[in-house]
Amino acid sequence: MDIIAILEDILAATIRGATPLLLAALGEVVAQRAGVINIGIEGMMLIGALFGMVGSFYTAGLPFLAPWVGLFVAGLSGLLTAALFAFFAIRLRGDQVVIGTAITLLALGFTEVVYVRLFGKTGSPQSVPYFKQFDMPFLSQIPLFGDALFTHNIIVFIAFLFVPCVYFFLYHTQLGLRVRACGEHPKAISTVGSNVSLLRTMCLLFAGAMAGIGGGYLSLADVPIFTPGMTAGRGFIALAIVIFGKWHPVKAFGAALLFGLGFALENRFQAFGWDVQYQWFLMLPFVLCLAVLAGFVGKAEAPLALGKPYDPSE
Amino acid sequence: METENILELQKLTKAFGDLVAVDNVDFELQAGEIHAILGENGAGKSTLMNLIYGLHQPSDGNIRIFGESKIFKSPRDAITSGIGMVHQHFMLIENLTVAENIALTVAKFSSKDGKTASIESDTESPPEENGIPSKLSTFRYKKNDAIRLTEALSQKFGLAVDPSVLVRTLSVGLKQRVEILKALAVDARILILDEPTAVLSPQEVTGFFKILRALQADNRSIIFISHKMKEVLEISDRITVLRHGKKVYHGKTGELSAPGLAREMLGEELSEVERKENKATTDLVLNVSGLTVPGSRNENAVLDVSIQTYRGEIVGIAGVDGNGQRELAEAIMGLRPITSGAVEILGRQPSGTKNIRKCGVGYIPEDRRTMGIITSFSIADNLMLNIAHFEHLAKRGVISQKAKNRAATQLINTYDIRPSSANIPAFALSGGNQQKIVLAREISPQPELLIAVNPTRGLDINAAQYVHQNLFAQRDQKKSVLLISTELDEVLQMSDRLYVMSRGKLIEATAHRDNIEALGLLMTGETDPDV
Amino acid sequence: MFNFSALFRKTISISLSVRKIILPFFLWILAPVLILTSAFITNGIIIFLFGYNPIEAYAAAIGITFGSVSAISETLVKSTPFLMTGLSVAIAFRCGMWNIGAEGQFLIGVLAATWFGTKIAILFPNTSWIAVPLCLSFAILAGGIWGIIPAILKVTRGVNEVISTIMLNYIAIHFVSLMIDGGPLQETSKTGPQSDPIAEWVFLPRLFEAHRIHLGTGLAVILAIVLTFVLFRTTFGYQLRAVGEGAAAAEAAGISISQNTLRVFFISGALAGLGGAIEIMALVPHRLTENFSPDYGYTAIAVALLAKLHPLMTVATALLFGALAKGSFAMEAEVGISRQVTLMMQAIILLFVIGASAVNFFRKYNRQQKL
Repeated sequence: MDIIAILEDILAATIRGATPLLLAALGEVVAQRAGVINIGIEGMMLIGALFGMVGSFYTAGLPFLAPWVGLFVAGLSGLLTAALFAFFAIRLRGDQVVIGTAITLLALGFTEVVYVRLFGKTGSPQSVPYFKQFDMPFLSQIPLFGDALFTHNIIVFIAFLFVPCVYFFLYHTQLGLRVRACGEHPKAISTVGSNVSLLRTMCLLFAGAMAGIGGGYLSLADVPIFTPGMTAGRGFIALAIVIFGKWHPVKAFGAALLFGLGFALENRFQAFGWDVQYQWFLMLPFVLCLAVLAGFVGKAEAPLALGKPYDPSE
Repeated sequence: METENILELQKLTKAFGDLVAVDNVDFELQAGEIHAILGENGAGKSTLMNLIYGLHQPSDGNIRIFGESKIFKSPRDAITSGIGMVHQHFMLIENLTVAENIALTVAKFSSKDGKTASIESDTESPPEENGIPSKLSTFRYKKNDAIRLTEALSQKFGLAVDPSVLVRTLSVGLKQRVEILKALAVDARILILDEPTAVLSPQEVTGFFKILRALQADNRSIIFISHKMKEVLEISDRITVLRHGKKVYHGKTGELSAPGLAREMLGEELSEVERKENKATTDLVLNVSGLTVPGSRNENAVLDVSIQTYRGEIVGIAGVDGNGQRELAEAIMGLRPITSGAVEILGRQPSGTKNIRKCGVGYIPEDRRTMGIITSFSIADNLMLNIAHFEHLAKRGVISQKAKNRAATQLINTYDIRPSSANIPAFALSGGNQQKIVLAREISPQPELLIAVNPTRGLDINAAQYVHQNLFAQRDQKKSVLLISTELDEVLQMSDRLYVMSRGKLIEATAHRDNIEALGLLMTGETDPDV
Repeated sequence: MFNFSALFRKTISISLSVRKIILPFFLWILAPVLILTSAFITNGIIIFLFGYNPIEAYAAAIGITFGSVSAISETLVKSTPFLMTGLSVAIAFRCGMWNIGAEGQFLIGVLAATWFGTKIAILFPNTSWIAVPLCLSFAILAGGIWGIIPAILKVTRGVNEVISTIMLNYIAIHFVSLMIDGGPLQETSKTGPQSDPIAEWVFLPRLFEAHRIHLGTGLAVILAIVLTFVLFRTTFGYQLRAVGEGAAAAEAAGISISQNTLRVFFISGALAGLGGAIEIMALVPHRLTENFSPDYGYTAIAVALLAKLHPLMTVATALLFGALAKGSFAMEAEVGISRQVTLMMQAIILLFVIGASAVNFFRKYNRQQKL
């Protein structure tokens, strides 16, 4: 392989690896900006991954529509999981770290039980209709990296489109302004007539839906299978992306690409047949994550009220 | 012409469980008047205001506004009815700009007539009534519109402030200005000001009162909540005094003199602690030289400060909140890193809070509930929350339960902590009794040096006097006390020597102790008060 | 004359003691029982909705966990890793440190014990009295060092420990795989992703010949008692709790936050690591395999929280989770539910613990809990 081909290959893999992380991280940016730290993102992705596949599986009769149904169901299941989170974190004001851990445990058990129930104990991977790669007309014809950048499945482009959308929402709408204020000083916006609990719940539901879609990407694109525990820590990495991206959607995009590269290298190096044990590359994104957190993150950047339950009666 | 009551409270009652915070209170507010509500901490002032502002709902009674009986379910209802409130702790979002803070309020209330038109750019031809463009799009947030709206508002009310800076960079006085602008932006006819002067220097208070007069001239009504008699007498038209949730006095300002009002507030005569003449020794205890301390955003919170305290004296540091006092105390205690300078205690330079404590330094921190006690710990556990103490109670690291309980019982009796059971968790205690825990723990070992930051904040007068007696006793034992307080009266009453802290700098002011004017100037950062 | 006021005072003091002593004690026992009952019912409903028979499932689970002496012994054996990791989590949470990393620390402990048991122990054959304690110490040290990494990152770089401990879990999982699948610890025959069995003289002895219950279980229970004493009767424990309950006040009192952070993470990691070593040293096949830990470290969070972070109560909750884990095998074998249903069950218990803190009746119970 010549060097250009290698780079193209890595670039394309980076983008594919970054997409589910980006989707989940964008949702998490909004939730954390509103003051909720959602550690259950891993569980929400996992549930999205399972139900994405399930949705597509049961509508396989309509092969064109099925992946879309799957993606919708993935988002919906993520949203419902987030609703459970919201009930405990916002209505009952429980500790968000514990609830997040519980949600992830719940998802780990729940998805496997459902999977075994639906597809049998051996859990043989089910092949379902999925999103196939397509060439963006004209753009993918650009020499050098056109193909790597513009030959992907549709969710990749949707994910990228979400970056400016979330940015516009947070910085150019009144609601976004309120979300940002909510994560800093919820009482203040409550005294000028906003409903903090409602605002936070909405943001959480959005985060859940995005995590669900991110999970759906894993089971509906590129390699359309579900295996229990398949998210393999991606939800937690999305969490780190939010921190590394300083709670800003565009910076989070950059961070997602970095971790996408981590995942891309994991597969590429194996393919190159280097004489290195593959587990080193499995470790890579997580080591990268620790290094990034230790090296670049200041303390004072997080929204001030992040992770603190809001009690309106105080 | 009979002046109209724009706000009437009829037999208003609010109970939290067994506690009746507001008890059968009648109150009325006329258009264009400044009505002061005077009362001790815990007299029910804030609860009463929260009822008017819709933060709480009354258990019983009636609120009539502009002649209509109304129940406010949330602040939103109150704001729509023309009520604005400036809280004691500002409700501003520090990491947003002034314009963003204003926009947050305005956008929420600008669509009253259903239109979502953006701001009219032409301020020359104002759309009648209040004369300012009062609308922002409820969907889009447009930075420039928000800035222009804020500019227009501050011009109209003569409250100058830069719309595009982050709120956290503003001084306390300016933040308060933004709060008032926020209320005026949605055309508040009734302004509730909760202890507004607590954060201001005497000079700033004068300017602030001018603003209030101007608002009054604009036929707006103001409820002015305070526990400072002098200010109330100066600014208000009428006074209502609350005590234990009940209205105990109501009348025109001037009908009752300051001592009379104090009697109403407290229900008893004040027994003042007299400041006895005192001779300090020349034994140096604390020697701070050239101390510079970074604040939380790396600015210099304390700048080149030098101060000495000697045995047998109380040294007072006065100043408006947020001028580096907290940082100074924390730096002396080793709780905050130092950029330059040195802290010497009894000739030594201990490093770290642990070693400083072991030199015999007591510390009454500013924030009782987070730094003074651990609310979930029992009284006994809190009474040994000092590394110099609990290591005493232990043998090879094992704490003797007997010794611990004996020590606790003794302190509980001496300091009259109630309830008197050592195993009750501290959250069950009143603020005054929690402070007694801190006092008992910090004073009873008779530390060589006691650093007390706002030791009476939030206490009623009797509890405060108790604290003062203890500080005097400490001095009489020939120990050294450094008293840092935002209550000028307290510092004046207590200290043998006096300093003023302003913008991180410390100025000796013992010579000006009888000249409030000069002290006020020092507090605002004038270095030479005699000009 | 009859003294009414004395009688009145007496009545008051009795009703006070009811409120202060009997009721809290009642809640102390009742609250966990209520939480568990509700969780089991909820889980039963979910099982039912999946089309299984929950009563059958629970019956199978109970039979296999408490049906006979050897079943009880087996349940105790199963509970041991939950107890060790549960203690690890409890002590860290007590200090206000969200150590989610017991999973990784457990695995690193196993890895250290495996390395010692397969490589080092050969150097001094047939010397249980030295090999066993040495092997345990090895694991303690390894777990402690792995545990202290997030503490160092937190103290020096301000890295949130929740995220760093989770990352370290994944790194540990892949590192174990690296060592036994192609790495230096893979079995000599190189057939599968597992290690050789550790040397026989590094095995932990059984307590009774007939049953599998072993020394490690006893050690874990003793540790729970020791930790209780340390936590509530020593200056060290006092400092730990002070940091956890009110860091700012503790700091002002002269207690070093960073020092306690480092300490508690080391201890927490050491406990989890020791738990790992016990597993491999006590149980057949005495070798490190992939998926050696069925999420012990995460379950430990539920174990510790249900025990209100109290080391002694942890013994009881660990027993419960051991029974759950064991019961899930029976549920899978006899009713066909995936074994992973236990994870779901644990999550539901956790959520009920959190939910209970919002209900007025449980206020007292939850005051210490701080959820």
